[in-house]
Amino acid sequence: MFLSVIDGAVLILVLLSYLGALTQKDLIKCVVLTGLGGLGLAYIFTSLLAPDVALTEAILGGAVLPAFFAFTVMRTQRFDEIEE
Amino acid sequence: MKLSVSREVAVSLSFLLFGAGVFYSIYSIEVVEGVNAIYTHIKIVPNFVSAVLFDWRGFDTLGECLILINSVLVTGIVFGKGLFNWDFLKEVYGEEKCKDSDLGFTPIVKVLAVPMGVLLMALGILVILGGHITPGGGFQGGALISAAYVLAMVAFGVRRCPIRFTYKFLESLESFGALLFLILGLLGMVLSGYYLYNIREIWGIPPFPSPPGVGDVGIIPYLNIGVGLKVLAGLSTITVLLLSQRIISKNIGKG
Repeated sequence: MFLSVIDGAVLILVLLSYLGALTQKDLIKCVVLTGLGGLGLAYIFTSLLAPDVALTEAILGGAVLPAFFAFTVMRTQRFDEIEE
Repeated sequence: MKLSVSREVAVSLSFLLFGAGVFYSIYSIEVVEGVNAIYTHIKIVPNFVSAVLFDWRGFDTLGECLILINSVLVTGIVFGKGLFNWDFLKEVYGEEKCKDSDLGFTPIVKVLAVPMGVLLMALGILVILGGHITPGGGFQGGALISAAYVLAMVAFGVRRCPIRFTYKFLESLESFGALLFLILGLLGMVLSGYYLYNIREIWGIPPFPSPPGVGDVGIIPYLNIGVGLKVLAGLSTITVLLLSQRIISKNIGKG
């Protein structure tokens, strides 16, 4: 199976969203970007004909993991502060 | 006020659009066989991934299960029963006394959360029970059910959650799932001499009565059910521990 143009675009989107999640200071935005990257990865797995992995990635990486991260952010602090 | 009104309008519009799309696609439904067609074309009986996961690499699946059990145990130790004399947790939870974490969503979200949760749970049960034929399996189905639980918890808060799993029930469910997996492995050891061996038939009777044309699946559906129960209970336990403050406040009061 070859990658199409849409797959390449989704790959770039995944890369950009994870980069944004790494550089973001607001942790809630970081969580949302992580979920977006997980959903893009799920699409790529589907187009590579791996539906089992895609199902796992869509549920865990797109819904459950951001929810857990958001609960943890709700419990602790919202902004990533660097002491200088 | 104005912002919230515009938000409601936007949510209603998107709800109408998506609802119309769903109804249109149901009206002109056309089932595409998809990946299953490829599977059955190459004559891999019945689901190759499931066979690899539970039959050839059964020990690896057992290891994955134990990893999940470990993570739930660690979460329980940090947030659950293990906190008795932890000062930083007293500082974190001691200030707000037993606040119900209702996040204050609009009625649209609350009304939509119940049927979506029920649909997700039904889909999860379907994915678990059809794990040996279709893509999916115990892990995915259990994660779907626990995603429904997370949805209901987030939309309604802990106390008014329509899906009521108590903490004790989830704990025992997780132990039951893991024990089911281990005991089914012992069954293979008794009958053939190898742990987690897939048994085709016990005294002439197949362990899972499957319709003709599907092929022998052995004990894979039962292993799927065990893994599904365990994953569902594990992820839901983490949700309960992270979202509810009542258990934690009670434990702090004890300490």
